Amino acid sequence: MINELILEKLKELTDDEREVALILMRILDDPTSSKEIHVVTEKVLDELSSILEDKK
Amino acid sequence: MKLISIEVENFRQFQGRQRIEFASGNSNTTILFGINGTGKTGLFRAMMFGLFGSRTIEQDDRTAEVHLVNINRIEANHGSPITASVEVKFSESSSIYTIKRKISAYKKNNQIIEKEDESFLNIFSEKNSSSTQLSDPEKINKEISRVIDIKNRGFFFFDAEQIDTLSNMHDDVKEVIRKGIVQILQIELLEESVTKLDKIKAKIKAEITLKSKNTQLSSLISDQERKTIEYNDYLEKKRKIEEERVLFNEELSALNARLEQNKDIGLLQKKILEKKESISFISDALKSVYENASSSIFRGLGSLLMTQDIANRCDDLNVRLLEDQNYIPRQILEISLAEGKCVLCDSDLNQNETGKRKIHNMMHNYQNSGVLPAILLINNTNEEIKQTKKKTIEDLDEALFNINAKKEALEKSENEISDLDVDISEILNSSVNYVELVKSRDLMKKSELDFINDYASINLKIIESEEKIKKLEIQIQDLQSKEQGLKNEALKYEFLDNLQKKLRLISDEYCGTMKNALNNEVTKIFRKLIDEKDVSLVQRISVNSKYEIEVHGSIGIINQDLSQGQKQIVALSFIAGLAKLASGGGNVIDFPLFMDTPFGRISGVNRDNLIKHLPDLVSQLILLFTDTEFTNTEEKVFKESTKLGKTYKLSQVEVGMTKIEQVAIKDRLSTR
Repeated sequence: MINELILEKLKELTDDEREVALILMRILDDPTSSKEIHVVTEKVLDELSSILEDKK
Repeated sequence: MKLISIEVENFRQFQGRQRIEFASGNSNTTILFGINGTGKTGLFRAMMFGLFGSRTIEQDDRTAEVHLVNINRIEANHGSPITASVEVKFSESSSIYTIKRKISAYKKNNQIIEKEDESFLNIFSEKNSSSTQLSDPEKINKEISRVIDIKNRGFFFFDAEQIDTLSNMHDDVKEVIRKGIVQILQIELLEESVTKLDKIKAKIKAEITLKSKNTQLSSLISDQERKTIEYNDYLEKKRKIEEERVLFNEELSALNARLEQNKDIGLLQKKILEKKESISFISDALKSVYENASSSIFRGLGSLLMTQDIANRCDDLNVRLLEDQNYIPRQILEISLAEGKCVLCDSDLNQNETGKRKIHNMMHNYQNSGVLPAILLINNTNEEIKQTKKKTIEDLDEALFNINAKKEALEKSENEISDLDVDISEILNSSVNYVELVKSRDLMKKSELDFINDYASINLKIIESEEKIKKLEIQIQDLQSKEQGLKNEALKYEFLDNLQKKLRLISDEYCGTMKNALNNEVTKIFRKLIDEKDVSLVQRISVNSKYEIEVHGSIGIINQDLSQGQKQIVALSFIAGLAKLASGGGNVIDFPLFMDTPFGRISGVNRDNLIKHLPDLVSQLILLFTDTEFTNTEEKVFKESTKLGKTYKLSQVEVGMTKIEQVAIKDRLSTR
């Protein structure tokens, strides 16, 4: 679990940035998630694509 | 997280089903008491197996096999399998977790074969009164890790070795501390996120290059990639310089602190040095006085020995001279008459008839034995020898005076040095070489300039590199905007680039803030736990950039001056401080502390302090005590504190069989 102090710090980011950062950090923090770069990239870019799509 | 209970069945020496319920709330301390061999560590092992599925613990000898199933039961079952189980119940954020793990074992050909059977997790949500059940070990571990990460467990559940390891403050402890800090405080998570974003950005760049039909754009992107690699190298170099600078400053501060600490010795050593120089100067002068004296003696030796003999001879010769009546040489008389002027008295003989007659008479009566010149020479020599003797005696007197004075000065300087040496050994019984310390400090100050130059040069390169990348970025964006198909990728890249920059800043700030907060927290906790009389010894405790725990007193770092017991309290304070920050930095650590034999080398008053204050620092405290750690004295202090919630006694019924009994708080638990 990402600790409260980091979550508090992440408030300095925009909502969209925070969303992407949290996706990335949760993958890295989850001991059962694969940390392989293509898996991480796919998940982060999926989230980012949907954010950019929503903005259109 | 709050531990509710643990139930063991046929696990290690616990035959049949036995249960322990943990205290919480105001009286949050549970004591599990047993003499050696009754299974305290077995219970610790059961907790590690139940929560994390771990079959070994840190203190295990890795070469020896550890069996978790009760040996007596295996033997009695004659080759048929026996199942052992551990069930741990805990609560976290209004959910109750019940995790049960089973392991079975049987004996075949005198060998015990153990196999993990099944795991089961039930999560009951009190909010919506629903349950989730899991039996897949991977999913179970994932759920448990959401509450407590297995890699951090050593900071909440620690066996007898852990406190000892941390309190040693040796080099290999640095890694344990570093891991604790970067993992528990999740500094690593932020740093890793920044690094991963680099790789994701690189992938997008590769995608853009692949899709682009514009060769100029591809070339610009490749160019930018190269510049970015170069830029990152510069950043890394800058980071290293900064790290080295921090270490350098710490070293310089430590050196300055030592100099300050030993300034009295410094002054004395300076005086000794001055005295030694003065001794060397006096010795040289003394040597020269000795040389002068001996050459004086050599020169005047003849005069000293011969004076009387020559004087006697001169007297004889003078009598003869009187007999000869030739006091004045014939040549003098002849010259005087020829020049009409007495050579001896300068009188004009033409005006002085009497004088002229006297000279004529002397010429007439002149008798010459031929010894006059010799007598005159001897007389002169005698006079010279007398003078030389007088001079030699005066020189020798002066030399003796100088020698005595120099010897006195030498003796005085040597005595002063002895006194200064005594003063130094009284101030500090060590081999501090102040002069060497000053030399090292001066050398360091010189190399400080190199740091400044290196830092300025790398910063310049970074600025230049940033400008080049920015220019390329503008050109790339311009070309990308002309290629509709790449717009989306370009937006993604820009978004992640901004995010990475912001995350990097957040990471740096967070790391600094957490280290400061940790230092403050550890110091605060230490002051609570340590014997009141020792509070003033420690001004602060900090973790330096090399991840070493430093204890600062009024005279600098005092790690080496702490007793083993005090070091253990430092280690406990560090663990508690770290756990407190990790659990959000509130007044109480929202995690249980589960400690096997925690009082190892901690003495009476410090034990009392730990008993009084540790329960206030954590939400739950579970202590495994042996009879020498938990005596009548400790029991009394625990009971006075009102923090004791539950006590259990482990008793050996027979070899390999332990019974867990709850003992009422009002009843005596200790045996000594």
